[in-house]
Amino acid sequence: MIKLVDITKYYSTGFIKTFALRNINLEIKEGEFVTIMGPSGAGKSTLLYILGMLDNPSSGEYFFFDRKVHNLPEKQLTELHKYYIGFVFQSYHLIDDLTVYENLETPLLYKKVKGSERKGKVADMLDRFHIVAKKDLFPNQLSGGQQQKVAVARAVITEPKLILADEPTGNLNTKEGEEIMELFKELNEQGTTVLQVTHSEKNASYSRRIINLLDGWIVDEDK
Amino acid sequence: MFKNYLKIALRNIRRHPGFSFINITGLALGMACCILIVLFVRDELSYDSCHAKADQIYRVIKKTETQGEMTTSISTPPPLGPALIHDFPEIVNYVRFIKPSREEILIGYKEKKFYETRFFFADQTVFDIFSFRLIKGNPGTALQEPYSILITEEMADKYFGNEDPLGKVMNFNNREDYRITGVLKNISHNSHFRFDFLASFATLNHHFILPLDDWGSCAFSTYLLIPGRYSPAEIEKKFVGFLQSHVGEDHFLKDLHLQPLTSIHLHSHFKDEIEANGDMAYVYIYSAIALLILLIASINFINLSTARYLNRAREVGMRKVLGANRSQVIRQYLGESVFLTFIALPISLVLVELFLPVFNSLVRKELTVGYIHNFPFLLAIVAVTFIIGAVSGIYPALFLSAFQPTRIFRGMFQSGPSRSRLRSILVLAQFSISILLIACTLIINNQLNYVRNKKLGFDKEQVLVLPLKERSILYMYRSIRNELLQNPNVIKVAIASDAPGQTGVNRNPFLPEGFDKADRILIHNIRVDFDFIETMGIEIAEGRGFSSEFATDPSQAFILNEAAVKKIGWESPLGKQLEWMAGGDKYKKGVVIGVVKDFHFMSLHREIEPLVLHIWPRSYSNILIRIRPGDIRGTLAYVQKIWNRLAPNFPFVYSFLDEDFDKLYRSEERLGRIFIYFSLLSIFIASLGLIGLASYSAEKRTKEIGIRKILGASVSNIVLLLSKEFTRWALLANIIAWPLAYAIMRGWLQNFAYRAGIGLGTFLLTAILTFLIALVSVGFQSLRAALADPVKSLRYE
Repeated sequence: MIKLVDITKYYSTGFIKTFALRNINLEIKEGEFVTIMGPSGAGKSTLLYILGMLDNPSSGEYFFFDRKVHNLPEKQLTELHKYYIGFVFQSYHLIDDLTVYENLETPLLYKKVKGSERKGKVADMLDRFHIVAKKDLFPNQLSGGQQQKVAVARAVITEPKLILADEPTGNLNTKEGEEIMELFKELNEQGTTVLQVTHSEKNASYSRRIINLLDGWIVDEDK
Repeated sequence: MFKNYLKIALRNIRRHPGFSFINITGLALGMACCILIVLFVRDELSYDSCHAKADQIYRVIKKTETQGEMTTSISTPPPLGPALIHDFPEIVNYVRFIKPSREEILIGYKEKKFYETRFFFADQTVFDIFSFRLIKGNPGTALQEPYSILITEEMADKYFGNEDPLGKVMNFNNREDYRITGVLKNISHNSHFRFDFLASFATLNHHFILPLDDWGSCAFSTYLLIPGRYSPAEIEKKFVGFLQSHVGEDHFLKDLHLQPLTSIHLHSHFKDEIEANGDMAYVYIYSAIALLILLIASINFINLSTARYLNRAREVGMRKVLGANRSQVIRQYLGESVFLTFIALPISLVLVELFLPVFNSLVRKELTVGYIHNFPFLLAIVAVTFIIGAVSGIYPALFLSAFQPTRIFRGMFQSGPSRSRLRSILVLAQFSISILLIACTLIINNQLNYVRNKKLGFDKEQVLVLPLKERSILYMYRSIRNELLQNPNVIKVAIASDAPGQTGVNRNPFLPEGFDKADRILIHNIRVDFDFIETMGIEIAEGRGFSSEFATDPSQAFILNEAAVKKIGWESPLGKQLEWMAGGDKYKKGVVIGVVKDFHFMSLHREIEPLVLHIWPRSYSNILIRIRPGDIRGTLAYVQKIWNRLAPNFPFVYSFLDEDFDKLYRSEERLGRIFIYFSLLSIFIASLGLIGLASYSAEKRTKEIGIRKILGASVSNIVLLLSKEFTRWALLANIIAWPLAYAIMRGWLQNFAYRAGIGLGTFLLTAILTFLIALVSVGFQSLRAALADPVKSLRYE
């Protein structure tokens, strides 16, 4: 599903190049549950964003379903991640001015899903994540765990092949965190590929493959 | 999708009431201003366009030469029209108008008597050329018979009420009777001349001694109908030859020109205009003001939207992650700004309705919006609103949509120096515009004060002017004067042809001693009585004033002003001979008995011109009464009582000399007032924007402020830190705006021969004002930021 060849990413500030990723070679198969670990500044998030096509590598090649994507124009990238990829962030990133219902609806709107179908899908999600009662509330009226649930629901609603999660439990307490991880596990079991970035060993234990990053290098891989 | 955007927009407005208030108020005010000014401009541009053949109608103006001076005037001789259509096949028709006198005419029906001014004679072709509408009567025959007259609806109402005026007889000046043959629809206000009474041309043969075939008596305005297929310029080329064949080469009539009807109002400022015309320059000035104010409001919008990007960036990022492409994001934000302007639109329409009366009194018009009757106008407003929204929204939209989601989520976006530089430039522009308007306002008002308070060379205060509309009152003057002087509050009474400050003091040829007859000089002259000089408080420089002790003063004495002496070039004017040759029996030969110091008998727009005073009772038409200050109302009542007793057939009409003088500067005064209102408004909108910007800038810097406070900065340190930036802009804006204001206003001041000048004081005052405004707008926000608890702001970072 995903194949990275010699991916390097650096940021230049003035004359100094700061490397975030160095010569990353990685392959991920459909249906995997992968964790990327490493200390702060190791390049975990950068890798995640590049995988999610939100960022471009400085060099190297990226194949997504055997398709070259590292030099696609922005428009096509948007199309790709619109249909294949769902994102979950540490700080949820729900749209503050929209209700839970409307937040869930938004990705469908961008996919131009018809009104009745949209309604059905949103209702399904509300049901499946047990948040029907919250559908007319705004994000700031929810607890962190509830917000993250909505965020996961929003990532899943388009039925993506790949879910990318950036420290999804970082802002949550233990119980809320567990709930979210159970959700990911469930999704993975239903066939969705999940890739998470985390600091927590406990969260990492949900996955079957752990990639350790240090200073931009892949240092070792546990399977 | 649209619903989603709409919800976001609405919720955003609700969630950020301050921001929304500033934006919507600013836009609404700016748009209201614009609509008002557009109404004004549209009205100015619409003059005379209501006639079906407006683009084929031309007015003839003539160029004449007297004593070597070329004059352009709109008054033409009566045989011109007939001769033109005889000689030029291109000219299809003509109509002549004549206003029988400059003065008012007393018109009466039964016991109702009023002074009227808008009285004209016209050829019956008037209806073939112009689209004036008759409500009653037959346009083909209404002006056929002598002593036929058409009156407007308004007059019909005034004189006849519910009666049918058709066939009724009205009396003019207590003498002639006219029969009403039709009722005209009121002449719309946007006509370069308007009439309430239109009498038949045929009357002139009976009534006036004017020879209608005389090429020398220029008192008619002539309008021609030239079909579009002919070029007026080609016709004009033949006019010199045309005139020579009719009047010969020595005649004072030298050339003719054609003026398109629709350009008269804004472009024609010749001698003898029927009504004072508008001025294209003012149309430009007003339009510029409207655009500038709109610009200020739009800048607010741009600045506040981009300053708020922190709040919106996360949303943009998330939308992009969810699959929005850039054009969708642009569309959303553009839509939001258009939406906001459309919220401002109804508010601005309400404001327009609210301020229309004030604005109307300001520009002396009766403008109405008339939405229903004016669908295209409404459509234009909607279109312009859309454009304003789009233009103000495009930059914030492009700016926001360019965000890279990764950078947003990783906190890598900051207000780069280029962003805040753009905002600074925009604020600078706003400030500069406001300062420009303030400076112009101050300079205009400075000049107006100067003009009002300038010593005129005579005392214009407490002088009552009673115009004599009718010769017969002249016979009563002796007794009126004697009775007036009985009152201790009446100091002096005089009579003259013109009061200072009235326009149109006659210029006649004079022949000074030592000059050849061919070198006669045109000099203004006011015909006065023995008491004029003293009553007006004019100072005598040399010789003496007129006195009843000298029997020859009425017939053989002249008094000159210094400018006249200078123009003639006499070393010692006293005793020099002078001849007044105004034509016909208006002739006098006498000596100079005195010289008065120059005084402003005309407005300060012009240099003091040469003037001759002499006694000539036949031209008297203004009684001048100097009264004591204090019980002016009582004195006025006394004067009226005497007038009503001695001249019972004539309504009592009066004015005060100082007010007459003020009227000379009416258009400038109007401009001044418009500037005051609009500069206040622009400052208001700009400072709203500044408040918003300051609050965001303080918000953005909460962390910095928190750290500084922990490091020991005092509240005043922080207020200073935050205000410094804005003060710098204010200073820079002053430096930009000053030369602009100076250049523009120097041009405007050229209208005056006597100028107050533009002092540094004006600019310093402007600077102080802007600093105060900036400080007040920014200071409050800065203080609030400085007083905030640093621990709080740091924890939530």
